[in-house]
Amino acid sequence: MLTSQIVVYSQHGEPADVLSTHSYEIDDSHIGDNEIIVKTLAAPVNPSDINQIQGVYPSKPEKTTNFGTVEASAPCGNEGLFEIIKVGSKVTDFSIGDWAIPAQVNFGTWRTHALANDSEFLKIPNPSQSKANGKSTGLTINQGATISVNPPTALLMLTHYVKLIPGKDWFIQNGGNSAVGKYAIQISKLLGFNSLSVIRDRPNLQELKDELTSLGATKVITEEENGSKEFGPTIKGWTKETGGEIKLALNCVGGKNSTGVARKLANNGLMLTYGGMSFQPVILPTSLHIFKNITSAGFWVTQLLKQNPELKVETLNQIVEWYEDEKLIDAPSLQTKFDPNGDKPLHELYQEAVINSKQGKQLITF
Amino acid sequence: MTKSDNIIEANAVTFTERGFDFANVLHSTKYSIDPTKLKSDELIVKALTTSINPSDLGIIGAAYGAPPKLFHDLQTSEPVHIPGNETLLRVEYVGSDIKDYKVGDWVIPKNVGFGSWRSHAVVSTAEDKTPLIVLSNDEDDSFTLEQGATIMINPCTAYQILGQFIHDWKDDGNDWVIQNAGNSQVAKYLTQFTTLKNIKSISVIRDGKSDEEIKELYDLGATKVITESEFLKPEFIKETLPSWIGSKGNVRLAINSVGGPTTAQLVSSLSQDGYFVTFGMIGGQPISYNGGEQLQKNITTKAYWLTANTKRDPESKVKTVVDLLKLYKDGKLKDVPFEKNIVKVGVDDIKSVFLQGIVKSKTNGKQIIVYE
Repeated sequence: MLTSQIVVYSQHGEPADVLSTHSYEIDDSHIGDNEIIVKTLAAPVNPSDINQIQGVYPSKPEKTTNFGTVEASAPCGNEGLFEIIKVGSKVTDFSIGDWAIPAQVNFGTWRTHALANDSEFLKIPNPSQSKANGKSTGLTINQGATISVNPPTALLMLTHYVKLIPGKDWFIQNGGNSAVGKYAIQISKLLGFNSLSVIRDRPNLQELKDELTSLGATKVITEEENGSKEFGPTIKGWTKETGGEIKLALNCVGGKNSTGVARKLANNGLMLTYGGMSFQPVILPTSLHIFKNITSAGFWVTQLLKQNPELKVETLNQIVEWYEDEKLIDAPSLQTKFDPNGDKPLHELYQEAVINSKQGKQLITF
Repeated sequence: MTKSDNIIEANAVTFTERGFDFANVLHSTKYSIDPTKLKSDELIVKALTTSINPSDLGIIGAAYGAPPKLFHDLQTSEPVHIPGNETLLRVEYVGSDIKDYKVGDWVIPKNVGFGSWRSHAVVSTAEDKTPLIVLSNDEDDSFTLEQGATIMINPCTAYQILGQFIHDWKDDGNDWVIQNAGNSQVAKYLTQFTTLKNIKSISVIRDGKSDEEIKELYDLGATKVITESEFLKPEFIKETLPSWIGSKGNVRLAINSVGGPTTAQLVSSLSQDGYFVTFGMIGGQPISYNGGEQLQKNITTKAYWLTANTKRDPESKVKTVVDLLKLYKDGKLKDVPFEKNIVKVGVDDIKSVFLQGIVKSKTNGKQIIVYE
């Protein structure tokens, strides 16, 4: 018997109030032919995890008594990195020691172990497999544990809807300093697209501009410049130089900022709104919308990849390859290690991580 | 030549400088057309009616980017612009090589920017063999002057908006359309088209409309009519709308031509994968809505512009008009009432009649100039 600990909630509410740790037994000597047992290596806190617990996120896990709880409870966490520790007799896709990530959201990643069907996981190479494959390096724990949401969001927004011409075309984004924003900067560089990133003005502006430029940003402008008519010709000059157009805008901020990025779009351009479920309204000036035939759509990686599992595999493979080739830098996480024999139960560790999320992405390692 | 070859004395409203001060910007221009000098690939048309549309005023006032084309054949010292798009024309003379048109045909221009505020025009078929769409002719009494006068813009707009974004409308009574400006000309046509396709519709109208105006919308087939203030209440999304559409109801298309606070509520009214389409606004209040809702329901925000569609694909206009003609001739489509302004060519000052029409268009709805 193997004892697994899992963070669950039976009622929606603030994570500080409603989370608990539940222990249950996994019978590791009698697993089904197509089942696997995994142990968790790391699982982060994402804004959508918090929103699910609060009950304000449109997609959420079913409440269940499968974990042996008295009240039906839902597991927390959507992203995570796992290692296979046992495989059923008919499992061919996984071997012991392989790394894997959940194939779908709502798996419940804030836990120590899981018994699952092999189809519930996707394999990604562990470091020794990468090296055996001739790669100079393998994925880090952080890269593996945060590969499912932000990097695919950036890659798919840049490639799935609009065909940008490498060397010529541009995309514009607000939230240039966000995790997705930084992936988008790097990935656009890898794909040869020009990027125009909008960031908030701040005391250490030049420092941040330099950081984004070193990641591969073509141009970085402030929100004030984004909203300024006088600055328009400067941007037109940049696009003219490359002989391309700004065909895509990525919006995760809303408000005036969304108007500013939409205004930069060329005729027939597309604005994709992504990210949190709660931000300022999207504001489009009407005449611009009509005369430039601009489309505004939502981008929700979960929904897109649910409908298109092959695209998910393809996208993840590309991200893995860039990580292995050291072409992509992952957004750092603040890491805390869980001690199964310590005094602090797992849910308290996650409750603290939720509070600390404001300082940066939190990752619990196991 | 097919008619006595008298010189035609024609009138046009023209402008050279753009601006919204129409009384000063617009001019009356008299010119003559000599049918004996008609080239073999040309035809002469006479205007039966011309509309004054808000977009015409926007073009004169330079609210639109592209300057209209210049006309060199009006015997003016400098080339001039002629406003207007929508017009119903009668073919008066055809050149010897013209095969597609005959005298007595009722036609409308296929392309945008015809310059319709004039009594007569010489139309060349050198570049486009079919620059005009034939609607009817003198003998055909299944199609009225009123229908022809207004077919080009509002019915086309309504018809295309319904077809351009959603291609798989279901006729089981569960698909819905919601529109603000529910008693606009376009909305009245749109309501009729939804009724013909068994699509349900909700028309949001400004507060304070008369019972008669509301009844007119129901008579055209509107499923529900609601005032803006009722629509903007939170209960509309939580209670009213669900009770109207039922559990199978699917609000697939929201149509906005107003902007401002109703836009967010229109987006909230949409079901999963719905389209939010804006048309017909110059300036006005911006579109503003909840981005989270857009993600969650996968809402796409699009713009509709008849002019752009026609420029991109002139045949799309022809196809739309052909479909509309069939509906009119089958008695399935009612034309929406408008006000007539008579101009006696050669007697009245054409500019004065148009200026009166412009003033009245702000308060009395659509204005049509009828030539006598």
